[in-house]
Amino acid sequence: MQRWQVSERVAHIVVSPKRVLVFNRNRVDDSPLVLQGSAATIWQSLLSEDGRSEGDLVDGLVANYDVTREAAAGDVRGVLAELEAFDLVSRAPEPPS
Amino acid sequence: MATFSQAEAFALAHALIAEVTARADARVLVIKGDTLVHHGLRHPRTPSDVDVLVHPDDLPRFEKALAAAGWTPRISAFVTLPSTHHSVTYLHGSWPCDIDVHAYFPGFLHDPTTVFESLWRRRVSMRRAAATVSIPDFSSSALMLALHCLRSTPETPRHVEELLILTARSASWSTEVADDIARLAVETGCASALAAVLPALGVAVVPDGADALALREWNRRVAGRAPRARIWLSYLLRGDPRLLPRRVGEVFWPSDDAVASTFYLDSRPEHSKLDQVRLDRLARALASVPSMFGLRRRSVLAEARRRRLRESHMRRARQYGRAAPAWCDAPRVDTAS
Repeated sequence: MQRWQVSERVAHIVVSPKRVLVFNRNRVDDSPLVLQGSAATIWQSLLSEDGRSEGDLVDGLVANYDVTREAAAGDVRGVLAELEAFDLVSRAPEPPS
Repeated sequence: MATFSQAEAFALAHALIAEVTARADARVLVIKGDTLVHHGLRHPRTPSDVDVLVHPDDLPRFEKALAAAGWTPRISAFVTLPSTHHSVTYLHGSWPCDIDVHAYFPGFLHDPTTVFESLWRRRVSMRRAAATVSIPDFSSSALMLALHCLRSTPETPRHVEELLILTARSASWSTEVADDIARLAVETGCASALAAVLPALGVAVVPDGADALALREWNRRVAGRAPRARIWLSYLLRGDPRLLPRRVGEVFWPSDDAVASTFYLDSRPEHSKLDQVRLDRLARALASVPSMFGLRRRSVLAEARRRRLRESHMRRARQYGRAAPAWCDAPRVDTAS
């Protein structure tokens, strides 16, 4: 399954488990992006060195929020699409088998 | 889109500065603010701006890179001309914090390039928001804090308190630290400027060869004798004489944009509000004319305010278990019976 990781040269501050600010150093004229709630949870999961699969991210949301697996999967896809549009996350290379 | 607070912007601005510094290939030190907390010289608090000190040779490149990132100087008209300002404040519509770009740091009385290079040789790193910035080392930061506080004392109680904390903490400094601060004070020409403070920090005051005129100006500033009228006059007299009419306009009746940005008014303030701000500025400048000629206005209100400040400083000094140092402007206690 596709794995995702935080893009290089992205700065961030974790204000609380449910609030993160991210800033793309490649796009200094863009404003920082505020991630709240599930988006902040997803971001913190992505900080793992080898990235996270969509399944891992869904697991993280189900463990932390009172949501169904289907709803969490939709949320993960939406957040990843938005983060990718801002060049804040990228698809991680497949780990060597 | 969700907004972010000043504290959040302040932390993240370090990453922005790291990037702009790299793009400009500039020598930049983040100063004051968190750097003092990093060295344990000040309690944490959220400043409204991030201060940077830039090598004089790299300043145009850094400012250009900052402008390319969408940041604009607060009073653009002032920065295009030689002026007495040591820093320019940059703003960005989406960031609720400012970036103060210093061309030099007041109180270091040697040549700004010499001073910067002394500070740069000793720089250390600080991590903020997953980015690394260069900051002054402990001794440089201690001197900067003392200079910054002294420059506004006794008008700003917070700076009096910070100077008292610095004095209290200096009790734990080793001889090596005190000697290092003394050496740097001579190297940067601030030993004379801090002659009233260094002994309280356990640091020897060694002659630093600072320019006598610069020292006199500094002492005048510290004594609170740099009235607004003199600053305006100095601005009018410096720079290209052909641009004098423009400078007169900027000083006496600044543009709507300059007034709005300088005094943090709404984006579209009413004309009556702008005019009121301009008239208040003029009134304050006129009121400072007598002190420009050494004539001090002594009103009952001013005297009461001075007394309140003095008492407040004394209370703070007692709180930190120290005798009030010389810079505290403490009232003399007559112990004769």
